[in-house]
Amino acid sequence: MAAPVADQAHSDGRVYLTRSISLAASLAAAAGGFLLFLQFGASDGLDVIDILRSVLIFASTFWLAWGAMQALAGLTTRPPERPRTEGPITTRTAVLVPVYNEDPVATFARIAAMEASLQETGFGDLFHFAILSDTRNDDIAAKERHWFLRLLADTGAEGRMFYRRRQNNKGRKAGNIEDFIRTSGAAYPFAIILDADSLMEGETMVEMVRRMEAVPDLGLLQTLPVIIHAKSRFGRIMQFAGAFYSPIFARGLAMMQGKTGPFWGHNAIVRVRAFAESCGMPELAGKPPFGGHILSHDYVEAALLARAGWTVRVDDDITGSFEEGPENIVDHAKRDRRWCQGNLQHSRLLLAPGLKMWSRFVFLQGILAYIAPVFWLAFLAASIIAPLFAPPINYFPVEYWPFPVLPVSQASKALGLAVGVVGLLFVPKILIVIDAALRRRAVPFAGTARVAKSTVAELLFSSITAPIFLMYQTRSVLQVLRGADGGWPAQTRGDGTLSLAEAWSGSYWMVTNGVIGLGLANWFAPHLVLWLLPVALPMVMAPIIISWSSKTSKSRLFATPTERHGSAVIRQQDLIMQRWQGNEAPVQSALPGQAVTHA
Amino acid sequence: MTSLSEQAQFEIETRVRELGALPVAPMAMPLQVLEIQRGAGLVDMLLQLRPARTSKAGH
Repeated sequence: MAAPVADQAHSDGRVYLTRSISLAASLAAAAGGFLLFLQFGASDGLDVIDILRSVLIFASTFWLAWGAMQALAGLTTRPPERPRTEGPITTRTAVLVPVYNEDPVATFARIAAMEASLQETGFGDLFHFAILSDTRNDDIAAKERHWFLRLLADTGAEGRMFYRRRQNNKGRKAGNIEDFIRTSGAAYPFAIILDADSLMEGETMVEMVRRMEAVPDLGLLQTLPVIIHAKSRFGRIMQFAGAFYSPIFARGLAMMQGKTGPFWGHNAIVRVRAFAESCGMPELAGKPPFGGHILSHDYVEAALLARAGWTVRVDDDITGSFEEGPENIVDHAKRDRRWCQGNLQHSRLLLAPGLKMWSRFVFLQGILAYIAPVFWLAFLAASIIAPLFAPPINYFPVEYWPFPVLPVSQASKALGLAVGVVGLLFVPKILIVIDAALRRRAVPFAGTARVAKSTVAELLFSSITAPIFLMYQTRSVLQVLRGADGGWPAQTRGDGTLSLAEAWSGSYWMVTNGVIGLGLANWFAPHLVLWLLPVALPMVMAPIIISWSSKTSKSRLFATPTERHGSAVIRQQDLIMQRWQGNEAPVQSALPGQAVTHA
Repeated sequence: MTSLSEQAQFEIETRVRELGALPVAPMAMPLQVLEIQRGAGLVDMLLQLRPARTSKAGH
């Protein structure tokens, strides 16, 4: 027993060391930014706006540095050896697919593909699929029933595939899963929780079960889903960023969090007993957006599992876990609006009894992720109005001294700060490219040259779109703070191309703000106009950027391993989709169709 | 009179109910405590301190 205890102590020590170094370095960077800006602001006399701006720089720089440290932690560590059982697995696992007004053909085709992939592992009979419908649209629900029968007929998985539709949406997705556990939880030691757009290789699911079987106190194991099927410029850039940078950031995160890992709501496996004992989700007192259902329930469930003593882990070395992402900036912003509300709602849980300190910190990080853009915007606004508060320059500060004393320019300090901020944003990604080149991780991404070009293009694109996301996030935060509930809109999936008119209707308010901001800057602080252009121009041009980036990408850049070489389960899904949509009656046709006849 | 389509829908629903029914194996899922109970601690007590009420003068 001594060895595992020593291993655990070593692992805990490494986690605390990583956390301490990251925190200290982030605080140091933030303090550096604070002091630099304070000196810059004090050059013409210190006033309250200078102090306010310095504090905003502190908070924003800390957030950027924390992200950079996460990447550095990921780059400087290797995933530890994960225990797993060998030989045949023996545990029955439920694969939960919650759906909410989704396209049943696409969703059920994924299930059919995963079922086929599982059968190839030889352990398919140990996995049962449960389609948990919260669909409120009766037409879509009718199609779900139709295609469920078709799914059974195609797979022959009767008795291992289930479908039920709830009469109400109590608790939304968390309530949907909870309802399954209350009905059938005792039948399954493990449950793999998916989203409607999730896809997993059979081998991946078997591997997850092996790792759960090997560690009895492992309550939840999260995989790192890779985005697939992106077609638009925006979608493919996100797909590349997710496939290329995210594993490094995720490893850094894993090194910092130890046994208090994350749950991202899908593409994860849970120990059903642990989940049932620990994760019964109450409603918060009061009305939405801060009260009522807990929107971002996944973070809370991870915290509750950790509170109950279960290990929650993210294993970044597990491959074959996929999801789909938004194809345009507007859809991304809509999803982000929901996440924003969910994360800000966590402010109610910062002092929840018994939580691990790291869980509280994760909640705080989530809140900061949405508040940080507001800090940046507040900093810009404060900078525009700062000249109004600046005291007049005193050219004769020394009494009886007959010659004027000209103030020393502190512009170099502001420039140094700007370089530092850009460095915190860019350097981690550049280091990831260098690491990929040295360790040959770039090869499946079509080689180092293509990866380098893709990264430069991605940095350029993310710099141009950063002000647009900043505005969307700021609007989301302000909406939540004034009590507006975002509701539970169904996710938009599919093509996602936006015309200029559609992009305009989703961003005209941003154009107005950009023009007003530039006008105010020109009036109050003309010397700032040039500095503000990188932020204001993308805002003014938002409709063009949004529409352009939603169009189909034909670039050779942003290639990912999955896009280039595919994956067995993705190919299977595509084939099934073709068969169901091509050779068979389309889903829009009058029901019942052929599925019923053959069922 | 039930239309053909409605009858077919009914048949589908019945088949889905039969074939898709989840296994019955209930498991309890107790609700967790996430919010600090009001009045539970000293800090809460201090936060709730209000000036003592006084009766109106002259009555």
